[in-house]
Amino acid sequence: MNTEIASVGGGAFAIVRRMIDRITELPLSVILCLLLLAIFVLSSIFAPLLVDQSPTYQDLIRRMQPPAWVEGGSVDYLLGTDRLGRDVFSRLLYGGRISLAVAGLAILFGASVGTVIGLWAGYFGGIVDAVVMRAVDVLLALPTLLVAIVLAVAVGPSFWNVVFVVSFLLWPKIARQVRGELLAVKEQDYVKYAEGIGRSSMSVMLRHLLPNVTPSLVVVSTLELGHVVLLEASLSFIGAGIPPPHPSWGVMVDEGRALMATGWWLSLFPGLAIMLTVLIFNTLGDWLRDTLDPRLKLR
Amino acid sequence: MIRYILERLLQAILSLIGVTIVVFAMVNLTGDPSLVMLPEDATAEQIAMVRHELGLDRPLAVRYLLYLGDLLQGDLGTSIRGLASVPVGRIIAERLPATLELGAAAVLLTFLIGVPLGVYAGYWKGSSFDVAARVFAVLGQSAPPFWVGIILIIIFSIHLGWLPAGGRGGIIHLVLPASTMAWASIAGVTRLIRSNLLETLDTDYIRFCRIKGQSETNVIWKHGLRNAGIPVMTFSAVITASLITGSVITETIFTWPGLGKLLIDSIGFRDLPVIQGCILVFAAVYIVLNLGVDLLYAFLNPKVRVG
Repeated sequence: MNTEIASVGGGAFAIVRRMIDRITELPLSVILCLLLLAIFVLSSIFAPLLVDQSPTYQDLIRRMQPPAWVEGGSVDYLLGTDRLGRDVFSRLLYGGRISLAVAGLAILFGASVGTVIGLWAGYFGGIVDAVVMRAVDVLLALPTLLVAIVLAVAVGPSFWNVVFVVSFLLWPKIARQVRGELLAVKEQDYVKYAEGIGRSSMSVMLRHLLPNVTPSLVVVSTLELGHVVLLEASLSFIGAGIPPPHPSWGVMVDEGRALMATGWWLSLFPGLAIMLTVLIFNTLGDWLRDTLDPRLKLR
Repeated sequence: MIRYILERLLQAILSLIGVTIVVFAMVNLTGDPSLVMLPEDATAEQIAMVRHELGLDRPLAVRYLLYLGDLLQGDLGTSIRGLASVPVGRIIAERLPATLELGAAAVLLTFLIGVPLGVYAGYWKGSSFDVAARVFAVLGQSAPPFWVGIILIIIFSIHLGWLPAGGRGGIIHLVLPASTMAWASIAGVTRLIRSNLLETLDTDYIRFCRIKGQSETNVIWKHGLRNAGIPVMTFSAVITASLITGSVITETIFTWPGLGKLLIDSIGFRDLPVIQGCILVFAAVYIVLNLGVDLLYAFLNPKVRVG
């Protein structure tokens, strides 16, 4: 306790010290995941600095080269080339941009819409609540990928359409979570007090209710990130997601499918990238749930 | 209990109606099928004629009600792919057995592998077997099913040459697609059984069983698993969903002649009636199975049964 107080008043050095202490207290798996996530995100953002070749540059003379460490491979193409002579490593990095961007944007939109609707339905109740929650029930009663496929085919394959489809499938889960949480919170005394002294509904929702549902919102969103990455990859794999020649990981696995017999590396690496990303988000989500919201664990 | 059953039944029916609306609306957004059926240089009159024949010139609401009316009589419409108009019901009936066969094999695999894996991992907590099972469970839930299928084909069909990479035939054709489909649900069941068994083994009645001198086999498989297994039932909804999803992807990879492949093929041809039919069948299976699980759960759980 004493060291705690001392370090609070100890200036910048102590603050850094405390941050390092905090980080080293994390479980090893979480540190590893955070590191990997940082690598994934940074290598996607700085892809142009890391690889010379454009992900869509074709070089038919150098097509179907195996990875560098396999006989016949070259160091210029670390993970080999595909049937059009495009660099698989370059495509993997640029593909990360697309897959991570879709996941991030879809969570942002889906969670925002879900939160607003959940807050609204939970706080005001009544007919709006009943109708919205019925709709949520129906949407959640359908197998996600099936709806995603039909919807994606309906709007056509493009980056923003995939973001839209995935967000559309996400908001009901968030809305249900927020609403459920809210029903307990809004009966608390401080909420009643805020209403009693004449605060507007908007102010009560934003200043008193939203902060209380934020922890579980963060947990659910992180856990959903894994699903979102998988969903985008599945859609792109089927051909209803990111259109070629853009290198989404799902598209790359699909392109490798036709060449399974001659080019095992084409499907292997993008698939591994998807798996690792989902693994990272699931592990972080589980950890956040255990630390931020132990009640969720019981369910 | 009766009240609960009725409520749940009503909810399922509402969901089904919701599904028909959602499916109808979504499918009618996928573009005009008459444009796909006609050559590119078709005149406006020709397009109008085909649209009229297909009933596409009528208002959306009328078309929905007509669709619902036909549906109630068991009429799913006719396929607009090719020249011969084949009833959608017949196409689906032809394809359904293949999907059910694959699904049943996957469910069987899920429980045959997932349950023992979870029990042994939970019983020998911390052992190397437990660690291996947990790694498998975590990887299983993160690996995209379409990728698992491709990797299995590369290993077992192309390199080892042990198993066929596609098509429907004897049991040997089932191994790879069923494993691909079951992969994620095996991981889920293993994880669930393991953690539930750990909790169950820590209870007083298990201690009492041991004090009474019952054999370990009896304690684990009879008393332990029976209690640890109930939550798995709730999980079966998740399993069903993942199997339906899985069938779409798995059948495409392994060219399995089932409903999932039919759906993907029909999307390519904008064959609206068939798409509607497939989604409807999938959704109905999903909703009915969920209903069954909920009712069975209520029946087994006294808290719900009495309350």
